[in-house]
Amino acid sequence: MPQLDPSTFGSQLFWLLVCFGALYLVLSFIVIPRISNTLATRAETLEGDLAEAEKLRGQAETALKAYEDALAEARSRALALAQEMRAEVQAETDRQKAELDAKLAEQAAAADATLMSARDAAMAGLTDAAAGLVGDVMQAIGADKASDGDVKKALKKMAAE
Amino acid sequence: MAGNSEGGAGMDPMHQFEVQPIIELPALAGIDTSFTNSSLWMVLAVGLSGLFMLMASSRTAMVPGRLQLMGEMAYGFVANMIKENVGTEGMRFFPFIFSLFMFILFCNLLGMLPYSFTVTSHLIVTFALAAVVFCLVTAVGFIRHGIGFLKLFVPSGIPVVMVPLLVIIEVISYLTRPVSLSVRLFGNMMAGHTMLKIFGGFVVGLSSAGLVPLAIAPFALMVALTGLELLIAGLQAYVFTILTCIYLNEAIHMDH
Repeated sequence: MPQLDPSTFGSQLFWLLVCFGALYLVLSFIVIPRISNTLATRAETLEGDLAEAEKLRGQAETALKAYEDALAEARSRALALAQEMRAEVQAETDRQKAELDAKLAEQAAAADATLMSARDAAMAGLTDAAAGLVGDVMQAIGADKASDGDVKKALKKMAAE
Repeated sequence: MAGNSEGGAGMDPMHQFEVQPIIELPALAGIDTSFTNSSLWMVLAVGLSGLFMLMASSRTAMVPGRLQLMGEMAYGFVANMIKENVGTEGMRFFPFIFSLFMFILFCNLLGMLPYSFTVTSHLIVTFALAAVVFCLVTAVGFIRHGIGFLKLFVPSGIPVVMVPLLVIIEVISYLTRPVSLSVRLFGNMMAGHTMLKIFGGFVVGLSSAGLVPLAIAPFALMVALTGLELLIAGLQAYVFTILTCIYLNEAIHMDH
C-alpha cells in the first residue's frame, strides 16, 4: 500500500501545510470578509426596503382614510343641503297656497255677497211684481180697489208666515 | 490478484495511490519538499477552490448571479452548519472550518478525474488534517474551561464504582477521534477509487480479450459507482466538517 510508505510523508505534509495555509489565508482574509460584507449589505438593504414599503403603505392608508372622510363629509353636506332646499320649497309652496286660499276665500265672499244682494233684489222685485199682479187680478175680478200698499203689506205678512 | 499484477502498473489498483516526484527539491530542515503528483493535485485543488471563491466573491451584486450565488451557498452551507452545531461562538472558527470543507471537497472531487491523484486517499494527509482539528478542539476546551475541561471525561450520574472504568473509556474514545476522523475519509476515498480501478480493469481486460459483451456489466457498474463516488466525495467532506463542528461544540459547551 503506497499510503504506508513513510518516505513520502515529508513531502506530503510540507505541501499540505503550504496549500492548506494558502487556502486558509485567501479565504479568511479576502473571500470571507467580502461575502459576509455582501450578505450584510443585502440584509440591510432588504430591511431598509421593507421598512420603506411599510412606511409607504402607512401613507397610502392615511390617504385612503382622508379620502373616505372627505367623501363622508361631502355626502352629509349634500344631504343637509337637499333637506334645506326641500324645506325652502315646502315653505314657498305653503306660502303661495295660503295666499291663494286667502284670495279664493275673498272672492268667494264677494261672490256670496253679490249673490245675496241679487237674491234680495230679486225678492224685492218679486214682491213688487206679485203686488202688481194681485192688484191687477183683484181689479179684474172687480174687488174693491185695494191700494198697492195694502197688498204689499198683506204679501209681506204672508211671506213672513 | 495474480491476473492484475501480470498487467503491470496499469492494472494494479493500488498504483494510482503511488506518490511520484515531479520535481526534486532540496530537503528543508531534514524534510523532503519534492513536488510530487500529490503536491500537484493539492495545488490544483487549492488553486481551483481559491479561484472559484475569489471569483464568486468579486461581484457583490444585490441579486447574485450564478457564480456569486454558488459562492454564497457554499459560505451559507458551512456557516449554517456551525451556527446549528456550535452556535454563534463557533463563528470564530468559521475561516478554518470553511477552508477545511473546501479543501477536502475539492481534493475529493478532483480525485474523480481520470489520471488524477486523490490527495485525500492518503492517510498521512487526512491524519494531519484530523490532528489539526484535534489540537484545535483540545486547545479551545482548555482555554475556555481550564482544567475543568477534564470533566468531559467524567460522565455525570453514574455510580462511583464505574467512574474509573468509564473515564478510561472516555479518554480512549477522545484520543481515537483523530484516528477515526482521518481513517473514515482516507478509507472511503481509497476503497472507492480501488473499486473503480478494479472494475475498470475488468472492462479493459475483457474487451482486449475480445469479450466485449461480457464487459458491459462491469462497465454499467462502473458508471453507477462513479455516481456513487461523486456523492461520497461530497458526503465525506461534509462528514469531516460536521464532526469537526460537533467536537468543537463539545469543547465549547461541554454538554455530553
